[in-house]
Amino acid sequence: MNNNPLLHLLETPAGDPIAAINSTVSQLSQIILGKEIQIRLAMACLLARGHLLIEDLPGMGKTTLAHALAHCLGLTYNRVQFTSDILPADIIGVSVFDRNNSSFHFHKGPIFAQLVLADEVNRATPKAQSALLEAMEEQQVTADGHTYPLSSPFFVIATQNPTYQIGTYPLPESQLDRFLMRLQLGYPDAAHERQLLSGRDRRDLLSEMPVTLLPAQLLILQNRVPKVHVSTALLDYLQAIVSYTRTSNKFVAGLSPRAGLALLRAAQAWALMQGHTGVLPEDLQAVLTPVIGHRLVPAEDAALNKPAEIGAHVLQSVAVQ
Amino acid sequence: MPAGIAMLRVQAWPESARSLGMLSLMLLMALLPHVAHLPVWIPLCVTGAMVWRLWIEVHAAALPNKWLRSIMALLALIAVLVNFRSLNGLEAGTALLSMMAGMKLLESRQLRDYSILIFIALFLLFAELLYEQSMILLPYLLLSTTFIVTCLLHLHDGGSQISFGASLMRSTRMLLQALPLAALLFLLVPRLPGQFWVLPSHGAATTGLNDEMSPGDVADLSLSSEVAFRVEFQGTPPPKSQRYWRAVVLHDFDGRTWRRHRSELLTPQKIITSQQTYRYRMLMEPSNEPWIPVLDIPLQTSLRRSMLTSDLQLLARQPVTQLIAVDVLAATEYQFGVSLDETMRRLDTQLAGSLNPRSRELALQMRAASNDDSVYVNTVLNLFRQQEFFYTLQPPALGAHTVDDFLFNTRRGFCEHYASAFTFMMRAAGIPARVVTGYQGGELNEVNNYLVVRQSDAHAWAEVWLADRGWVRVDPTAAIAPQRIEQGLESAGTYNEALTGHMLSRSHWLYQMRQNWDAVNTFWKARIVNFDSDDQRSVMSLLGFSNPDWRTLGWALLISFISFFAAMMLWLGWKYRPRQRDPVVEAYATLKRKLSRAGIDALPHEGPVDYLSRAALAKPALAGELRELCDLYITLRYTPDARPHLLNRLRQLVRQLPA
Amino acid sequence: MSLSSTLQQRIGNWARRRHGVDTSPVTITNRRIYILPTRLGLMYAVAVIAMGVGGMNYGNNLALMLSFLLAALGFVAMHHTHRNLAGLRIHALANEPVFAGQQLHIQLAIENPSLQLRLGLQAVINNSEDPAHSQSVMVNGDTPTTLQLPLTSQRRGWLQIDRLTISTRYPFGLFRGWTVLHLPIRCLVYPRPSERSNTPPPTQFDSRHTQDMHRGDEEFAGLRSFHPGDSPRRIAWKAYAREQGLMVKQYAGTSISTCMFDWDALAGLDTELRLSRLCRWVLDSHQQGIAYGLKLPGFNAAPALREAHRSRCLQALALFQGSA
Repeated sequence: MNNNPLLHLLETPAGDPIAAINSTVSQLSQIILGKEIQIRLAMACLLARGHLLIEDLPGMGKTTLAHALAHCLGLTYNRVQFTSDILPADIIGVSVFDRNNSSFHFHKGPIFAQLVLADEVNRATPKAQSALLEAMEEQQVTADGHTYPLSSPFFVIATQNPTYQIGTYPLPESQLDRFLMRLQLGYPDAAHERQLLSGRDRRDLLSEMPVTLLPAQLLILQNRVPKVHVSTALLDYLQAIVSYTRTSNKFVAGLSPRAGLALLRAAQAWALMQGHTGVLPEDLQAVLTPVIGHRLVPAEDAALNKPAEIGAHVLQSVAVQ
Repeated sequence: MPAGIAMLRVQAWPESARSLGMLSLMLLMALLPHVAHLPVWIPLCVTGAMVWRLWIEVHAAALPNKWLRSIMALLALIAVLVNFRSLNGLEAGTALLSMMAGMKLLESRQLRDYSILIFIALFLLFAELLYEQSMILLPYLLLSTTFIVTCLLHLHDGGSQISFGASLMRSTRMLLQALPLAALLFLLVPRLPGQFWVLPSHGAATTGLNDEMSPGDVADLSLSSEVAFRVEFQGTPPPKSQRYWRAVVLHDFDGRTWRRHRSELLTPQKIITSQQTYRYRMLMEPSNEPWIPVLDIPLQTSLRRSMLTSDLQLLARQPVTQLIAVDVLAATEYQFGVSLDETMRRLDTQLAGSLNPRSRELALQMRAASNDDSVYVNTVLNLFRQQEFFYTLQPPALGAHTVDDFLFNTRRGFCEHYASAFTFMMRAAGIPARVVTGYQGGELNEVNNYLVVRQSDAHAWAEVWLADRGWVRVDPTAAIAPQRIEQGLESAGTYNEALTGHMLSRSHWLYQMRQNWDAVNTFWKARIVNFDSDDQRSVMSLLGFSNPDWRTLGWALLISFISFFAAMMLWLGWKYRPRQRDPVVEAYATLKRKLSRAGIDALPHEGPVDYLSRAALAKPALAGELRELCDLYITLRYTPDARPHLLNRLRQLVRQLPA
Repeated sequence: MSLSSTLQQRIGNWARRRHGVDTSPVTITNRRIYILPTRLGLMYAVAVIAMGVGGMNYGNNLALMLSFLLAALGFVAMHHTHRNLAGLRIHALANEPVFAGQQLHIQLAIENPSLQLRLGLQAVINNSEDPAHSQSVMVNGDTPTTLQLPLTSQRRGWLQIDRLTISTRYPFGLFRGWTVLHLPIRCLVYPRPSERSNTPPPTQFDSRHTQDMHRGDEEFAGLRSFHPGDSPRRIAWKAYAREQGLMVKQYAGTSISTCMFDWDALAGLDTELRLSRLCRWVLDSHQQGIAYGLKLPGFNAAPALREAHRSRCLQALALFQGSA
């Protein structure tokens, strides 16, 4: 499971990190067919140091995406299957009494990995959920008075199954905006489905693929994201969007300042991936739906149900500045 | 004592107290010029009310109740009534208005009360203008108006809580905007000839001419350098020695006091004048008296509702309470009243009682020694010239026989003494004579060629009736030898130019400044304060309307209203225009317009890359340009690499793009 | 005042016919601004005319000048009053639903596209004379200013605002300029929840999803503030003793159960009373974390426990038209 990243360090070309991102994306596209946009968005989310929530039916490739991402980026990877009886300790770790030293020893939980897949978070109790969310927020874990920093980079991909409502604890709306983006993978189109059916097993394919971006490079890129130039014109556009959601009666409540900041970061990451020196309105538009789709609650009579509809509505209601 | 300290810390006042403080200041400003002509208790009462009201507000005390307020209002009313014996008239009205302001302040709690205070302040300003229209008042007037208007604005800002300074800026700007229309209204609103009602005149007499002359009394000659009137001659003015401005003719003498005759003398007199006439325009300051000084013989005057008496006094129907302008045609060489009727002769030779016996005796002796009347006149003048008579503005008081005392004892006096004594000597010898008071000389201002006649130019002289020559002017004061003028004129604080010459040399900067100041003042008086229908007509004819009537003025008013309306709309429309866009956006907008004309409309939410890529697909011929335009626009607008030459290139490309 | 308000009513009706119903955001154009002098303005006019007549009578040019200046100032003020309104954009914001009898706030945003500060703007709903129903604001050129107009509705259903008046008396209070907007502002008013009764909501049954049944281990999860109706057994007296206020202990593993609230179960009660009772149950269940469903004639919501579900149920109650 644990690929040594050092092994690949020598093999990776130390060239343009943006080219590296692009090759990562194309490599991933071979694993998860026909989902290049979602892969790019997931990469942008990673670059912006955000966390990702994937909400979709089982079997759509959520787990594959997370696994492939970890593989291609050479990140340590842990998967946590959330169930109704999972306890916070099962996620963050537990202190065990060591008889040899007669002292407590902290056993790190699965959260101590660079990429953590939290599968079906809505099946866990709010308490277990909040343990995860807290760790995501603070980038550290506190147990028995000791603080343990999480790995860096640290990227959580949580998945949520939208079909079961009863007997589950869907993430509260107020907690949803801890995730920078929410994606839906959706069904593949016919051609890609055919390719999937006729091709090799994806897992075998994955194990043959090289690491395309080193964690060190990823960290450099993550540091470059906030430095991508944001013009006043773009800030005007962003503010117009935020202000529209606040003034429109299509939504119960508008975007919070935190949401505005998230939108900016995501757009900066997207612009970086596109190789732009400044954020363009198109960069902002590209990340708009995944960033605001789960942060806006449409009004009862707004006739906006899917996140894509929300995104499109906001996009079309605000003129580019 | 802490109570007093709390009052002094204005910074810590509650908002309502600050509003009240502002209003109090405004009332004080409006009241200040009135302090000169109101009894002192009124400003004191109003100030007291202000302090009381502010104390109440700062300490959140209760307002005086209704009963107390009613009693105070009644007391104020009674006090004004007792002081002025009337509620009618400018002074009483002003006093009442001021007291009302104080009363109103004591019950003011809300915006409506405050508004009334503002109206009171405006009316106080207005009342001050009825008293005085001097130029020095103008800046004060503008200042107070601005302050009052600022208060109005500050109180009605709709709870926006903008600072007083901001209110001041805004109201000043609005006043400046109102100024052109105000000026147009001033020029174009037709003026009424005369008044249709009159407030009872103010009691306090100004330093002008009296209609009495008592040279024997303790002299309080307080002639100031205040301007009596200004004259603009058409052509050369008469020489200084000829500039005798006749105002009042005194006929009746009781041995001590010279008075006007009780009834107006209206018998027409025959006047023969030479060709030597002077046409001039006189701007007369308000004197509160009906007589108008004129240069010798007025042949024509433009003054409506006036009359010329047979002893040639020009009398207005009503006292002059406003600055007036009179056009006069006057003659200085004349023969007048050659045939003296018996009533007149008796009037001007009467000497009451048996006062001044020594003078009578002297007169009879001297007349007997003279061949005829004119020789006698010279003999009497020689008496003043050769004997030890002195000119002084501080003469000793005279006894019961004023003329005797003057001629034989004191021998010190000014024009009144000499005119009185000379006229007495004439009458004692049976020659008709009378005292004329008025002004002599006047100073020609070289800046604007106006002749300024001041109160200090007031003078008294005599007129003697000589057979064949009629009434002849004799100025006995002029007979005094100049070296016999006693020192002390300056110390008396007066300025008698006719006798002392210029105290300031003509090159002195103070003199020059005074001349300039007076020129400005004259302009102010002549063009602004006395702007009338004639001036209106000349302004209109300057604009090309010859002989405009009311209808023309009405049209002009309407047109200026409409133009002002339009100008205001345009100006404010520009001021309130939507925010300006930067040149990059402007260029992009032009680009979008051009492409839209070619059938490629931009969606509002479409970013530049999307739009221009779409356009490039639709117009493959322009793809290269569109790609460059897209790069340029993105670089300029969204990246840190914006350079001026890129903007120029963007503009150039947009310009070159086929429309 | 009554004459002027009648006049305003007339003008308002006429304006509605003239301009039709607006859509948000609406821009206040020149042709929909009306200006009349206020009472103060009339007083001012009388004072200025009196001064003018006085000045004219005395031929006192300075006094005339003062009155002309003041007259011109009034004229200028009229323009400023007009400009203070012109060009503003009014956005009708979404309104939070409220319960009948609660105070709601109609939310508006006023946007000023120019650089000039707009002062003393006043917004009034439905020509209300009550000063509490209006609000004064100033709007600068940078960001839209939001304002909230309080209103109380006793009736459930849609509360429709048919008339919004934006007016100003700036600069001197001599003129009042106003515009009447017919923005589609509405606010959903839920039924007034009935008093908490001791009778628990009926039809409480365990979830079919038995996989979660064993979670009733009642693990202490935290405290939340006390709401009337909470069981006194759950009050955290220790916290109360520490003067942290009245708190209620919450248990993470409280057993999952599901309620079904049925209109027909309340047969015999008045319609509004039934709705109030149902409303109360929905609220309580949501608060206590019990999944619930709602059955009304013509409406059926499967049991769920989400914000949107709550809203859907409450909206159904608010807009319920009758059992027919």
